[in-house]
Amino acid sequence: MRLNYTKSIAAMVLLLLFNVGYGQQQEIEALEAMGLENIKVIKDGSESYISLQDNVYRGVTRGISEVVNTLYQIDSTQTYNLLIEEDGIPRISVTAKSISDITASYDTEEIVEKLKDEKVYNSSFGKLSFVLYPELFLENSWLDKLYGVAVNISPAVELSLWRGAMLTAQVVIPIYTNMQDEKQYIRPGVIAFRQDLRLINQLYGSFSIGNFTEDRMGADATVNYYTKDGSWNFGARAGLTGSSTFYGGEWAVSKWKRVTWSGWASYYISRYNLEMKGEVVQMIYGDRGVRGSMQRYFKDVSVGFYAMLTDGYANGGFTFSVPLPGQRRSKRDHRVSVTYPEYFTRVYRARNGIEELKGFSYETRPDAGSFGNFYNPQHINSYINNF
Amino acid sequence: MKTNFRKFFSVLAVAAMVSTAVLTSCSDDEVTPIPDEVESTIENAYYITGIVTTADGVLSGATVSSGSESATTDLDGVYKLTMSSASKATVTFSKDGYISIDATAIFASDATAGAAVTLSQELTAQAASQTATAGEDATLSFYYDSDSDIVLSIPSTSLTESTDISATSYTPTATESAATSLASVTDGGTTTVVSALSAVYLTPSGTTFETPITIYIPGEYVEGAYHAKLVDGEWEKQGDASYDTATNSYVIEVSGFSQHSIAVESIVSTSSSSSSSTITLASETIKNIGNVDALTQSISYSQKSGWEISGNSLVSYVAGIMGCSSNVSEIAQSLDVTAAGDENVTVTITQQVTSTTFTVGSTSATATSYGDVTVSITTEQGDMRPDHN
Repeated sequence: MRLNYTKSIAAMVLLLLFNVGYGQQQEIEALEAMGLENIKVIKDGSESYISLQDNVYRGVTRGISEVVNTLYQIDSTQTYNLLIEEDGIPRISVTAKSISDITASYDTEEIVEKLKDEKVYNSSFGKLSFVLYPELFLENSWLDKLYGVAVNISPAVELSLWRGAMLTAQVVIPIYTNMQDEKQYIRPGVIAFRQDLRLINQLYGSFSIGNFTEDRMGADATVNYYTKDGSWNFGARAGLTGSSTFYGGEWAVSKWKRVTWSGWASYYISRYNLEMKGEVVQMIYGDRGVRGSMQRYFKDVSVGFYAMLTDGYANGGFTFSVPLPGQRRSKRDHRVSVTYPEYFTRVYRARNGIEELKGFSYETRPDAGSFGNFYNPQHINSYINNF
Repeated sequence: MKTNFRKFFSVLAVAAMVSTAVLTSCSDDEVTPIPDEVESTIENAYYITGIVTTADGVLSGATVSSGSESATTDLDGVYKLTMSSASKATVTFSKDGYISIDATAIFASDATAGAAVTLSQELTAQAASQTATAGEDATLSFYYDSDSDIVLSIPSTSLTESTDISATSYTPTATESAATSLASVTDGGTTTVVSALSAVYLTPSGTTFETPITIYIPGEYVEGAYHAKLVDGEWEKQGDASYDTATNSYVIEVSGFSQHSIAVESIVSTSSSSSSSTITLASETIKNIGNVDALTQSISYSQKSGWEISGNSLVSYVAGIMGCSSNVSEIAQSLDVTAAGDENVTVTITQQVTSTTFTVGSTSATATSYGDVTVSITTEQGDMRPDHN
């Protein structure tokens, strides 16, 4: 009897162990099959903790929705605690208590701690993406032409080096332009090294060095703090740059002497999925002032307006980020993948500012402002059940 | 394997960034998207240029001045005066040992910056002195050309003391009034100018004679020629000049030394068919659209200087108007042209060629002369300057 009892206990333990291992493996395989990267999975009773990075689905919310659906097909009894990463850096957490009870938050502390020693499957590091960025320049500033137009295809090699580190090398290839300045040349785009950091829970840092947009080259650092629910964001940014121009077909750079900085606070009105942002800025050419913007985030599109006043020079415009075709990208099975970005993003400036050299700012990455990088939990919570 | 792959790409990427930084030029000055503006595409100046010659060739080291501007001729005899305005200017050509000449430079009324007046001048070395002894008759001969001399016949009663005398035949130039008249002749029009057929520079200037002396000045016979003296830059009639066929010389009597000449009036006409044409010396476009920095380039061109005549008639007379012997030379010139940022500048440099007919009595001669240089500039702007916002 004693022996039978012991055997039974041993068999139950083995069965439990087998089940646990088998369950994790199923989820890992499923997530790998979806093309997700940096996968870590651990189960703790009815709680599963999973980290992943989505380079496949267009939009953060769509990716989460697909993952939750897949996981609940494997085991509908689990509560899934997801940690969504970007370039290996945790961005948000998502708790799915059921397929229809999903909540996102900026609080990633617990899941990070749970998964810190787990093995990584399908690491993103060392993978190289060849991303074809379409670019459109439109400016109505001339009397002899309706619009100044430039259409570019700007392929960028994006190499994930290590946790949070991304190397981007982009070349701008003009397809059509009726402009006669540097827009007619094949020229360097963003060629930069970027290191993102999660400093502490909800506080993120990013440091970039290299060739940026708006003919700038230099170094730039940004910190962002998000409240857990995503209502508020406070941030600051500082940069030291010089010019990096391609006038006359010749690449010329200057010493880095110009300091830019900005500090901001934004509030996300979840009812309208509307982000209100106020900012104090020092722009590239030293003009200082304020900038205010409103950005409405729809399911797959964001549009917004902004206005700014720097050294008495008023400017404004609109921004948008619209999806490019295909809700799903091919997974990065191979070391090198060729793709195009999830969204087409554009900032239109009403006044070009050249006459007074005011209102100029740069970006450090080719996909700046893209909907694809928008991780606000409140937006995710609004739309997560509609995908 | 994964680690090696990652390392390989990391090294490759960092190497690419480093090589990019090394290969691009780095300057202190930042380039902004504002195209450079320039005050003027070419220097806001006007030029008087030409060649100073002697009967034997070009003359270097001669001083050419006008007002506060001064230049020295180079080894090719070329000078260039930079003037701040296109006003009429008196230009003095001088060199030690040579007879100084004042000429008049007249710019076209519509001259724009960069315009150049061509003014070449022949200078003549002053003849060596000979001594005339007081109380003695003297006959002094001075070189005129290989065939003839200027002869001074000095009666014994003319000088109260012995004097070192020289007489130099020289090529004068158009006086201011003649230059003004010539400049004002329009196509097909006519004017009358007075000029020297043969001019003689006598020293010591200011010497006076108790009894007038007789001077034989060689020269071809021209009807209506008379004796003139240079007074305040103009040939002023002194009296008639007889012509000695034995020596092919004009005979004049003077009671004092100065610049004397055998002057004559001529009717100057231009024919409407060929009076004025232009030749293009250079036409270049400085392409700077698409660049923010201003771009300065030097445009080189060859400007013609001088004149030529058909036939042998009135050659010395025309030389006395033109200021130099019949000859056409080329002067290498350059003009600095600055295109503003994002601007193309097309520069066309032309030179006026004038065909002028001089008629003295029944003798006519047509001279072709190379005159004013005109710089015309057209610009084209690129897209960097917005027309509006």
